[in-house]
Amino acid sequence: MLISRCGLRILSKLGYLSKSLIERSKYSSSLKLCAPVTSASRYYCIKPKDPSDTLNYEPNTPKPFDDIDYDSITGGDEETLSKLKRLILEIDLLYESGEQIPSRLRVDQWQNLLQLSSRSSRMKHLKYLFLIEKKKENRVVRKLEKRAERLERYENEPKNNHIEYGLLRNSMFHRIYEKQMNSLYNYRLCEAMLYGQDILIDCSYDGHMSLKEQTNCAKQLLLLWSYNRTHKDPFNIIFCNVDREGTVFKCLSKTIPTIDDPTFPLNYTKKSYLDLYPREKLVYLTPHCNEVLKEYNHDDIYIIGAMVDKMKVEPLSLAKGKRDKIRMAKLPLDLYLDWKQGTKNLTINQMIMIMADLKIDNNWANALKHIPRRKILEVDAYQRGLIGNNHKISAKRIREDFRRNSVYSLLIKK
Amino acid sequence: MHKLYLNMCSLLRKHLQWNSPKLVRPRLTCIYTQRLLSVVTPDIIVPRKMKGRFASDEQKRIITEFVIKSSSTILDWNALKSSVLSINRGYMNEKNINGCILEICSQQKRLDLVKSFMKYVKQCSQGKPNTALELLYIRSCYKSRNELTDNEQREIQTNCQSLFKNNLHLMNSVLLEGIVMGICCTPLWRDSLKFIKASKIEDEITVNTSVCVILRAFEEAEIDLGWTLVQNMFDRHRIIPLEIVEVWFNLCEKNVNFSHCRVLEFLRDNEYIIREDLAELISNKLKQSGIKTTTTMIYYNNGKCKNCNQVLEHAEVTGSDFKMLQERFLSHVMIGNNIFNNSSPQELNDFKDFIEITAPYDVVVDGLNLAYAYRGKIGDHSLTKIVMKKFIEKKLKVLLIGRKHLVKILGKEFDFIKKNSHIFFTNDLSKDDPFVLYAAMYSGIATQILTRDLMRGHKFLLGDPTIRSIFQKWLQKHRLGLKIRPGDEVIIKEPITYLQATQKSANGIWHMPYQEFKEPGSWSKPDSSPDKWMCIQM
Repeated sequence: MLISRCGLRILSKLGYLSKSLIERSKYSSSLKLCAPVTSASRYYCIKPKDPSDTLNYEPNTPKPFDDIDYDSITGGDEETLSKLKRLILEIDLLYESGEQIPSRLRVDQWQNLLQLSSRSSRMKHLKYLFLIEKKKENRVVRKLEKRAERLERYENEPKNNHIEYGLLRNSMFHRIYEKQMNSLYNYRLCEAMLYGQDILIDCSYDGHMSLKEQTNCAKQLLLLWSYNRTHKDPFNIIFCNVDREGTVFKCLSKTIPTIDDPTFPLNYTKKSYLDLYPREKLVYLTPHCNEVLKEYNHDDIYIIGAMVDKMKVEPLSLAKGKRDKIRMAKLPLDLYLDWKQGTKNLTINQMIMIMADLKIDNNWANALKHIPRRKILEVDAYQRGLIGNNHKISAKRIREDFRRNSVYSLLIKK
Repeated sequence: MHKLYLNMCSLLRKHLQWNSPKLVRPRLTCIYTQRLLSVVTPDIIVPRKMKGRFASDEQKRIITEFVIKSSSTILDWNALKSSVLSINRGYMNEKNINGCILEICSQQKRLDLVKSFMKYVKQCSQGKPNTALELLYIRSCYKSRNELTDNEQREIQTNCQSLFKNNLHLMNSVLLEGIVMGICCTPLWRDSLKFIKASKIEDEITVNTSVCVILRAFEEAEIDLGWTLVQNMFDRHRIIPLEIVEVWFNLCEKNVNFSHCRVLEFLRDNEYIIREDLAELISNKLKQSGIKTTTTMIYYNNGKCKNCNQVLEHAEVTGSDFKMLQERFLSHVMIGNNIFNNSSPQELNDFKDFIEITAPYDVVVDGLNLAYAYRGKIGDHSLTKIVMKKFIEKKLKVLLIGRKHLVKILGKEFDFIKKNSHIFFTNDLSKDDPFVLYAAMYSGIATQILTRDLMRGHKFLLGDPTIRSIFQKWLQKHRLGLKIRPGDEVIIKEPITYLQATQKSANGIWHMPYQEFKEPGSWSKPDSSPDKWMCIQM
């Protein structure tokens, strides 16, 4: 619990590293594959501007969006400005007719909306933003409720005049600060950079993903990196084919503002994997091929495609592997698991979890535990039928029963 | 005492939840928990929190009740507003409540309430209401356009014109829709065409916009203008709304000069298959004017109508169309965005060379589909051999396409097939369907395909709707099927040759296909052939 919390908070505080780490980071900076450039531009504040001259509104009627920073959204471009005004009018109309529209939009959200071409896609995106806004509001409310509850509990607790022991009270153990955990994790990562196993993340799929998928991808990359550093034997992760202007990298650098610091233990490069390693050593992990990965080979370098395909599934990684003439492999999911539902595509952070555990002892049964349980038949699924009647239920029947039930529940919901 | 009992119950429940699997046998716990819960539950029901969708539904309910109940036009709008806004976690807030109230008023078709509410808004804001409200007002006027007086029409007209003038530089489809709706209520409805042209967004105009103009044009008996607009709308959206047909039939009843056949002719020219609701409407209207319509079916093998024994027209793909389809298929489906997705350049070149040497064929067989689609329906795995034998006995030139691992499945039969036909195997990582289609297309218009696949994915990739319909026609005419009878008797089904579209035969009998209405989520038949036909005897 404590460790995972540290792991999450760590990302924002990595600017202040301990002395020992700075010494180590000399190595890490020499290992960085890409020279640091200026950090990505971020928007902190919006200066309000009077929009009355731009749209002929009457002053007294309330308007949905009254603080729009036209300059920073359009960047002074005339064509975008007229497009933006058109967009604002469209959103106003939707807002007035009681559609689900967020009450505030940030500058980058305006820019994203401007990029969408069709009306229906804009409406979908607005609804998505609306839901996010409501979620945030609810989170705040819930937090306040919980705080009130907690305070009440503390007040009602019996008091003694003696020293109190327990969590958040006195303890015989020394408190471990986040800084200390950080230095441990970073030490491990730096060690992996020097002596550890390499793994490549191919970030060249920006153009094939929608905006939502791209942000999801960036989040998965973050999770991947933070899981790897808490692992007992981490990989040396190298992000290759990185496009610094792409949405994925921008989202990633938004969550890790210090990504370009020379002391930060994250490697990324815009080079292709073919420039980094000899072709014979590379193995592309893709679910679309026929070859099965039998065991982890420490001489090979594995590549994972940083791609989220929620909308349409195309064999892009397969095409890439074929074109570059490198070996391809997929995980032996059918051999070790009884699949229940969902696609057999895994997220990027699940892939790294599996590969990291597999590297230790080549134990597939252990490594594949990281696949979400909802996708797999329960362990006792075969035995369940034995209690009442004598015949055994096959895996296929269980799967079909499950599907039928899920279809029914969907229909009932409608 | 009661309270203590409740406490005990909740404690026990917690205890059971955590420890039941370990302590008590499962069946017994079941009984205990049930008994306890049945006593406890009535007291524990918590009122649902007023938030999110639940709250906004409540808000809507308040407004609707208010609108339905009210009889006079002088109403206390302030009270309504405050009662709605007292629920503070719904989707309606101070900013959009005006629009929401107006929307619900117009849903209930209460023009008087709409007017009184607009008066109230004007009083509150001391001046003009904003654009969005005005548009909503115009829309609600359009909904009950027959009740408008001359004064109101004039007011709407000036409103629309000023709206158009002010917002011309940021015109969008929704705004234009509102303006056109407004202008169509007035005698100046012809201006809407000018507006549409001047807005410069002719590609984006919505269906509703065109429907407004068309309805008005038909009401004014401007038939040529109306039908050209219908054609334009159909080209853009591929849709025929019910209202248009209804208005057209109403017009036919009043005026003898206009014929019912115009709708059928339109369907014939565009080869559009309508839905069941529209078909019912047409049939009802035709029955009213004394024309006999019957639901019928068409025999697959010869294309005869069950009702009138007429033979339907043949589907024909012209040479130029076919050539266009060939080119389009190669560029859009075979190669697509990335040739490596389906195949590889090396393989494609090999295949092209192979076809050039060995074409033309009589039949192209999708080997993998044959091997897998009919699995389990026939005793042993000799289906491929049986089918190939049938073709070879007819002295047809056959090309078998599959992947390399097909050899393993075929086993001993492979030698026989190899001797008697052409074979092309793609790599295990390539897709084989595009190769089948390409081979059939390349070798000429007479070649047939044997597969159970309807190739809808490839049809989608073609893009343009006209080319898609050409592809559909070509596939329907050239796709052979299999029928397996008990006793392993295999019959090759001939393709459907008749045209699956609205058509008129020589003696004046119309045949119109339509699609059955289906509940969303239910199993639906693939769209290869229309479900039902209607026989219309003039």
